[in-house]
Amino acid sequence: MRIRVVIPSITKEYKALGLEQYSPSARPGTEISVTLLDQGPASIESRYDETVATPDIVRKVVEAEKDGVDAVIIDCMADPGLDAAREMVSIPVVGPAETAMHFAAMLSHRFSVVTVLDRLAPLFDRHAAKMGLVERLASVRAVNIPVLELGDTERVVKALIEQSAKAVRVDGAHLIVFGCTGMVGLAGDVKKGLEDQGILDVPVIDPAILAVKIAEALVDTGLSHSKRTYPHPPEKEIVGY
Amino acid sequence: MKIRVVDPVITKAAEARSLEELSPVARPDTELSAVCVDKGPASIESTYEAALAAPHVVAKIVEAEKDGVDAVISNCMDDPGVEAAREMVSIPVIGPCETSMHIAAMLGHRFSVIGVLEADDRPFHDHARKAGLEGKLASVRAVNIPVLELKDRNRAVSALVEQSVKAVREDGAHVIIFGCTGMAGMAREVEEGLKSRGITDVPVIDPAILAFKIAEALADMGLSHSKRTYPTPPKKETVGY
Repeated sequence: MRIRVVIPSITKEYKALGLEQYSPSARPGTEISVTLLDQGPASIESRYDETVATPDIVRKVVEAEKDGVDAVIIDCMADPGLDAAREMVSIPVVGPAETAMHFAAMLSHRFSVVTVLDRLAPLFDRHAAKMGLVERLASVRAVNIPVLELGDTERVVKALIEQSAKAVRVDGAHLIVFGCTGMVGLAGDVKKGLEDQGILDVPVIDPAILAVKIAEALVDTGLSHSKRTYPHPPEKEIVGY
Repeated sequence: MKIRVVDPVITKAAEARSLEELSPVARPDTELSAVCVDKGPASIESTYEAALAAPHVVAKIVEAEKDGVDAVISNCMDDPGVEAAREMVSIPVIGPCETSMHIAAMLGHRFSVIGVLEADDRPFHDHARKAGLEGKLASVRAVNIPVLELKDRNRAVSALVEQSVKAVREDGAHVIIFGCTGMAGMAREVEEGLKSRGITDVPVIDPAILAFKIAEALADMGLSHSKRTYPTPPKKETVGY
């Protein structure tokens, strides 16, 4: 099967990096391809970034379906363009935030999201409200490291462990969800860091990897979003797209 | 990887049926096994029967973990024993109802569950409420065919199509979930039936198959329930178990 990861960023280095980070989670027989945006922001850290990234994300998802891809992942915890893209295509479009928060609710009583910046806390409150999972969200915490600096893995892991431990001890989290897909691949290190601090019973969800596994499962079962929920937009004049 | 299906009934034929239904969708590296419970009802069509089955489901799940199984499914849409079993083991324990409702909430605005009997209305509303997804539950309908008669496949499919059409047209469902794992393998036919009635935009979730694919996905990632949410019960005298 073929899965396309749409990285909602114009940052060229993310193409090779995305492939490198996503490929290990794919099972044999799954081919991952990665595309960046032609227009939009370098990273998504605000409502504005999300808004200006969305039109090109949708275009890339439409392109993926035309390329015969089986499922698409929008590689950002804002799930930018998720609902709009679903209106335009029939193949599964997987949002890492939506997926991770539903699985967190299945696997735990309450979960915390540990994201990049404090300013993103309302984003996850909104996600939870939309999904009906408000009572399951214990807290949103931030490592206060911008997306473009997440390459400094050592610093990021340390900050993730610190904030995750606080989420567990202070906020009552039973499970941790990474709040940025740029934190991909760090769940094992963070889980170990929590264990070193005596927290042995808290799973850590890496939403980027979960998104790949769920995309595979949806393709396997032939399931996709309901086109009754996401019907194709009416035909009309649209300028600029 | 090893996945075990626990059929929470004493009807031995369920083991062979589970293997027959799920083997075709198993990945090449998945080793599937199925076991019935030693004590309990012939089928589950009430909260009473689910309560009688649950202790024996838990025993089989504890046994599965000892056998080195990677993930277990309690193969019934009442998710009998799922939470109790999670307290007793660390491997993922999948409830088809919980899983289907969360995935349905991701794929569509509102979903309906088509159960076996009218009495299923209360438990499915309870499940949705507990998951935080009650606002997404359009309706619960029933085919009015007892579980043990579902093997009359033509009758079951025809009744499922009829009730699914009503769920879509009268109740506003955008996704259909089968309300009994005994309906496994019928989703394609029901989708075809919906299409022949002009409903081309409503996915049908087969919870038995979905639960199995999600079990594989969780085992792949080494992701399981939070033991902080499901801690091991305190040691004490327990007679009879």
